[in-house]
Formats: sequence, structure tokens, C-alpha cells
Amino acid sequence: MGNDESILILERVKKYFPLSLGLRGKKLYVRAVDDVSLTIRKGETIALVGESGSGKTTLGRIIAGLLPPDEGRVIYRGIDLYNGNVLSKNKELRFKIQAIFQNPDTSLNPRMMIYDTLAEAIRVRNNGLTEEEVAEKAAVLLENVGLNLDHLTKYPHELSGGEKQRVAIARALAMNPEVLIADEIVSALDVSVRAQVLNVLIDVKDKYDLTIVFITHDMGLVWSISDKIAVMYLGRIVEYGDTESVFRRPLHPYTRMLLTSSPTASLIGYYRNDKYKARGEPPSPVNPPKGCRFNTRCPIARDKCFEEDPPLSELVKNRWVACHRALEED
Amino acid sequence: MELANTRYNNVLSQIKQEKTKRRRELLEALRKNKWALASLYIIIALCAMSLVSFIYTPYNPFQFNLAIARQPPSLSHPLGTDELGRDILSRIMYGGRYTLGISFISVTLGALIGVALGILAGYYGGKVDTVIMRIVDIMLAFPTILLAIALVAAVGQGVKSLILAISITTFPVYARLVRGTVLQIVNEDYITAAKLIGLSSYKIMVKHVLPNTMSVIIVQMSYYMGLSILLASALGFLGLGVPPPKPEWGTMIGGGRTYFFSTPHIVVIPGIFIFITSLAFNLLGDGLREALDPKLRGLLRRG
Amino acid sequence: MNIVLDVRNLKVYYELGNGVVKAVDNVSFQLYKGEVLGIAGESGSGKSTLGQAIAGLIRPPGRIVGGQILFKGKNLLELRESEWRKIRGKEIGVIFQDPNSYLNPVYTVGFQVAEAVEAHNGGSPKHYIHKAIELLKMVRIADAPRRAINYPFQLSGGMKQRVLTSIAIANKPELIIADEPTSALDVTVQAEVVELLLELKKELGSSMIFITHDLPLLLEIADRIMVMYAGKIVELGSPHHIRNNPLHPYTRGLLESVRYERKAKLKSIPGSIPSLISPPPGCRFAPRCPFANEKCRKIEPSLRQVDGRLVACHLFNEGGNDGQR
Repeated sequence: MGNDESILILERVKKYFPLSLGLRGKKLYVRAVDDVSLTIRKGETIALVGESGSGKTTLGRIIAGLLPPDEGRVIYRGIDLYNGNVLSKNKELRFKIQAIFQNPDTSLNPRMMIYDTLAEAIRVRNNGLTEEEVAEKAAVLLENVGLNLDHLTKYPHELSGGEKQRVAIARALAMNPEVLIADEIVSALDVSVRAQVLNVLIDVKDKYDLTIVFITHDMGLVWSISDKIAVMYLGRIVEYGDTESVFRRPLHPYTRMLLTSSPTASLIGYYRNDKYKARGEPPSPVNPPKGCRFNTRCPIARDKCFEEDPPLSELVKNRWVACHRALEED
Repeated sequence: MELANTRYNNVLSQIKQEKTKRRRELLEALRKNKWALASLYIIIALCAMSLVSFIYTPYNPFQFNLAIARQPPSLSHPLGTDELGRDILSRIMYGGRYTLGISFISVTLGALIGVALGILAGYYGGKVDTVIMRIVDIMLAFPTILLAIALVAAVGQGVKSLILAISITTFPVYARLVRGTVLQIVNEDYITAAKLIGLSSYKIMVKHVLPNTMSVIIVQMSYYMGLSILLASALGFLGLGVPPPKPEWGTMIGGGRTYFFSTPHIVVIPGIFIFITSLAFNLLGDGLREALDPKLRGLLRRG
Repeated sequence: MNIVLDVRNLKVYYELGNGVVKAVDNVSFQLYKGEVLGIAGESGSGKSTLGQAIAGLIRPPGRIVGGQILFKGKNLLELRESEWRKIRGKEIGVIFQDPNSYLNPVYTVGFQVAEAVEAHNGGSPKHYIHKAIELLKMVRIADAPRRAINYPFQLSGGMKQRVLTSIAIANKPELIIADEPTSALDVTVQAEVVELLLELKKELGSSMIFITHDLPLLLEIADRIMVMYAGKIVELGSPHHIRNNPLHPYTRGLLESVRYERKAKLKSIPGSIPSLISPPPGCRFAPRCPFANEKCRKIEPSLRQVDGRLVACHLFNEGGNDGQR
């Protein structure tokens, strides 16, 4: 699982998006990411889990260096990614963190041959290569993602969704990254195709010694490939810990609700409690409720939960939970 | 550097082969569209005709001879003579330089300015977008012809002012059109991927955004070729274009208009040439757009 | 047992430029009163086309080229459009996947529900606004009177899906067809909507066809599950049987691919669905099946009773349990 070296640290990151409509001139904001701190260690695969409105995609972009936070810092190997223009000035740094996204239809330039898409990345990464060397690297990359060399001369529209996603992975790998953010990379694919893409990810993780941030809403996938899990709700991390430990003994009521509601999680069979059956809807991210954000749907919310917002604390060794009552109703 | 694996030896040649093949397919696709092909030939013929006029015309286009004025097409003058007895065929050949030349230059100029502005506005958004689009909006508020007339009136008559007028009246449309396409493109993940690789904004705009706006641009350019010919001719007809005796086709119409009912050929023949040229560019534009879209080409392949 | 729907040898083809897509190819099954029949399959299985055919929503280039759909004894395929309109929305209610495209953005939610009632009761939608509010309450929309005057954009995804549900059940249908009703929703919202659907079904005494690619979901909620592949039924049985002893290799493959194991590679079915224009001879799954033999590639297997359920696979031909790994 890699050593204990922390290579990526998020410190109290916040990102708010302004809404143009305001009540009586008061500016309203969507609190997409609302005070998130996280430490990621080299070699681990951490799953960022949540439903719509959780902020996981926004957080993914912030970690990838694509979206400057309004507050807080993202520190990669000691360097603050958003301090000055460090990512545009220091190309080597930019290469180290790469990302792949959800939609296979927009991940590749429709007017460029697959070869050219890869060659562009390869040339940026390596100065002064001959055409032959570029071609060889491109071929190796494609093979690493399980595609045969015919694909080099094809255009994106001639490839299936799963194949396009694998090309996207190949392009990211061309940069020889250390950190890879995978944002819902298989959600748009058929179930049987997902395995192809994810198995490639598992393979290359070892081959390239990657640290992966795996953003998803599918608990089954989390169980299968992640070492750590961070559950997000309305812009905050509400639970964090080892995947196995969290699945066997989820502490936050929302995590319990997620596991109980997910049919795939039930199939795997590690946690299910009808007391935490899904109910209610997430409140507006513009105006979160007073106290704990989950109190509108929580089956065990009481007094303090409506007054005070629980901080993310290490309630149990190596288990972080943002809940006043998690241990009381275990 | 030794290639560790000889399998890869073929890769590069395969790629080069495929690219040549695709280029050939592009021409094939163009060829398949008969209208576009015919249009291309017509345009080439007209350009050739105008180029020939530099070395030869049947008669001197400026030489007038009132004795043979306003004669209908005959063996000695295949397109007849105009109101001052000048050979219309020679004047058409010579005038093509102006009509076609002015259109090519001003369309290209307008496109260059408009596309650049459109891409900048769409890519950067924010204040850049607002400023550019306000300028564009203001310009679009003026009716094209009036704007052109005003510009010519301000700068004076002549080829240069025509080019200026047409470029200025056409760039706003490109800008708005291109900006619309760019707004969609910048949200696509391959643009984000380009940023992740560390490409500069300039490279991203040129290598990734621009090619994906090409089909829109090309159609617009061909449409404007047709339109600018009409615009130049209209100004010429009004006496604000290329001044007589230069045989710009619109100017020719202007000169002959008094005789429209008695000897219409003086007006109609330049008119036909204008019409055909304009139409040819429109059809060519359609054909090019279809041929350039890799997806549509793929369909042609599979079928 | 009361049979609500009896589908016999149904064939639905799409006539496209480059060939005829045999989307549903000779499908037969029955739906019993009060049950939830889950139809599971991936893209290209024909499950959505089947749902649309039963709801009478097949339009060119799609065409029903053969078979019968007997709904309470009447063959739906012999109905004229005017008769269809009496049934659709009243005796058969349909819920689709994407609430955004099935709700008109320029009318209030309450109006659209009232419209559904009015369509089968005459008058004008205005008269049914009370009924509409009642229906909204029935689908557990909080603060229904206020929500009724909201427009779709003011509602969340889950709420919109509930509105669609209320439209589907507005006239107490006997058959509810739900085509991927929760696929576009978050998993917690999905769980709620599914629970709501099941309760409503019970209250109304209806029968339900639940179409989805989510096999684990069907294992939880269906009374029987019908697995489709490339336009054909490959297996039909109870969740118990399907979960614990799936017989058809495709069913097994599907199940394995969602049985995620800790820190292990994910399993998938190699290959992809065959062309529906010219499907392979014999069993359509043969090209991807690890157990396929010569017979499988030549002769199409028919659905047979094996071990308490129906399977279409040569491995189980003689009614025995051979071929179990």
C-alpha cells in the first residue's frame, strides 16, 4: 500500500460559487467545497465518495490544480499549487498531477487522430525526440492500456466509450504523473465495459507507481479498488478511514445510509441497517441548515445536532467522523 | 536510439500511410459532391480568366468606340459592347481581378479579425468577452450597406476602401458565430486535458479550439465570398465602389443601367457573372464543410 | 394465478438505412397480477424496446412485426390509436428515465398532473387541481399545495421523478411500466423512489414491470427477474434462484461483474453484444460464452423449465442440472 509519505495535503480548502440571483441584494453562494482538509499518502488509492451536490467533483478539480480555491491550500510535496503561477511556470510540476474525467465523448479532440493526441502529450513531456521515438512511446502507451496498435490511426468517433476512456488514461500516463485523479471515469459506461477500464487502472497503478484519487458514487467500486475512503456531504468530508474498516463499521449516519441504500453494497453484504434507510433530500447547498448539515435526514439527530456543526474528528483510531452521536448508536 | 521492439518499426509508416489515405479521402469526399465540384471548377475558371487578363484580353478594356456602342453579342464581340463601345468580354476578364480579388482579400481579412476576436472572447470569458462582444454588438446594429457607404464616404473611394469596408462589416458576424462554438468547446474535457499537459493558452486556442470551429468558419467564409461580391458590386453600382473606367462588375452594371430596357445585355451579363460566382462559393462552402467533418466522412466510409 | 399480461412471440424490429435491427426477437412471457417483474439487461438487450412495445409507444422506424400482447385478454396490437389512448395513461401507466425530458418546462407541475387526470375524465385540467394535489401527496411530496404551482425547474431530480410517478398512477392503472425510473438519480434518492413505487403498487393493487440495467436492484425488489440479451430472453426466475444459482452463462457473467471483491480485479464478460442486424446463428451469446460448443453456434436454444425457472441454454437441455460449474 505504499509507505507513509504524505505527498498531497489539503488544508481547509473552500470553494464557493456565486449565484446571480440574490435576495434583496444579498449575495448568495453555492458552498461547493466548505472547509475540507485531507492528507493523501504516496501509493494509496483514496475514494472520494458522494452524491450530487457533495462537492467531490469540485474538490477533484481543485486537487488537480485546475481550480483555485477561495480559501485554503493544496500542497503537493511541499509546494503550494496555487501560490503564484507555479503550475504554469513549473512544467515538471504540472506533469506530476493528471486527471481523467467522466464523459468519454468529450475527452478526446474529435479532429485529432489518436496518435496525434498521444504524440502531443509525449512531445510536451519529452524534449527532442525523433518521430520514431514518439511513435514507439505512443505504441507502448496504447499497449499498456490494453488497446491494439490499430487504434493509433483512428479518430475518436470510431472508438467505443471504454476505448476512449482508455486512451484518456494513456494520455495522462504519457506525462509520467505521480498523482492521478479519476473523476467518475466509468459512470457513463456499461457495467461490463467498466471492468475493462478499471482493470487497466489497477494495472497501471502498479506499473507507474501511482497515487489515485478515485471519485465515484458507486460503493461497489470503492470496495473493490480503494485503500481509503472519504465520504463527502454538502461540501464537507463527513467520514474518512480505511475502506475495509468503514465498510464493516460505518460510523457516520450518512455513510450508513449510503451503504444501506446501495444495492451493490448489499450484494457484497458488509453493512446494512434499515434504521438508516434513505429518506429526505439533501438541503440546498446555498443555505445549509443550522448545526449538522445532515440533520434534515438523519434518523438519530438530536438536540446538539441542530445547534452545533460537528467537526471532523478522530473518534476512533484512524477513523475520522463528523458526527456528535456516531459512537452512541454504533 | 535502438528500438527495443521491432514491432514498433512499422508504427510510424502505418501512421503516415493512414494520413495520406485520409487526405485522399477528403478529396474523394469533395469529389463526390457534384455541386461542390462543379462550383470549384467554375471558380477556378473565373480566377484563371482574371489571371489571363494580365497578359491578354481580346480587346483593350478601356478603349471606347462610340461607333460600335451598345451592340449585342456577336462573333467579333462574344459578349457585346457596352454604352461606350468597349468590349464587354475583355472588361469582364479584366474586372474579375477587382471583383474576385477584393472579395478574397476582404473575406480573409474579415475572417482573420473576427475569428481571432471570437476565440479570445469565448476562451477567456469575463471582461474580455464583455468588451469584445459589446464592440461586436454595436457594429452589428448598423445595416451592412449603410456602414459600408459611410466608411467609403469617410475614407474615399477606391479598392482599398472597399476592402476596408467589407472587412469591417463582416468581422462581427464571424466573431459572434465563432464565440458561440468556442463557448461549447471550452467545456469539453479535451481542453481541460490540454491544460493538464501544460499547454499555453495560445497553443490550446490554436491547436484545439480553432480546428473545431473550422466548419463553422468555412461555411461563413464561403457565404461571405458571395456576399462581398454582391456588396462590392452594390457599392460600385451606387458609384461608391471601384470608380469607372475600371471594369469592376458592379461598376459595369452601374454604368449601363440607363440602357437596361433597350440593351439589357450591358447590365445582365455582369449580373450573371456576379450571380454565378456568388452561388459557386456558397455551394463550395457547403461541400467543404461536409468533407471536413471527420464524422460525416466516416459515414461515407462505412456506407 | 391471474395473468395480467401475456406476451407471445413478440418481434419488434427497427428498419434503418443499413439494415433491420431485430431489437426484440420472439419474446414470450407472462405477468401475474400484483407481481413486480424485473427486466434486466444491458444496452442492446431489447428491454426498453419491449417496454415501449407494451406501452404502445413504438413509432417508425420501429415496427411490431409479429406476435401478440394480450392485456387482460385483449390483444393490444390490434387496437386502433383511439382505443390505445384510452388504455395508455389509464390502465397502463408508464414512468420513464429522464424526468427532465418528460415534464414540460413551461407548465406547472400541478397542471401536468391534472392534465393526466383530465385526459381520461373529460372537462379541463382546472377541474382536477384538487385531485392533482392529492396525487402529489400520494407520492410523498412534502408541502404538496405549494409544490403544485412550482415549475419543473424548481424541483429536484427526485421530486421530478415523483411527479412523473404521480402522472403515471393518476388513473389507478393496473399495469405500471417503469423504464429505468431511477437510473438518473442519486443512490439514496433512488432507494426512496423505489420504495415509493413498491408501496404504491401495493396500494393500487397493480402489477409492475421494472426495467433496468441494475441487476442488484432487481434482486432486492422483484418477484421474478427476466434477463434479456440481444433481443432474447435468456433466463427468467426468482431472485433467490438468480442470486444463488444463476444458470445461464450470461446471467452468471452479469452477476459476477457486480460481485465486487476486495482488492481484486473486476470481472467482466469479454467481447461485446453481437450485431442486431445480422445476429450470429444459433445462440446469440455463443461468441462470448466460455461453454459454447458446436450445437450452441448452430441451433438457437429455446426457453425451457429447469430447476424452477426458465433458461434458454443448451447446457440445460434435458431439464437436468448439468453444466453447473
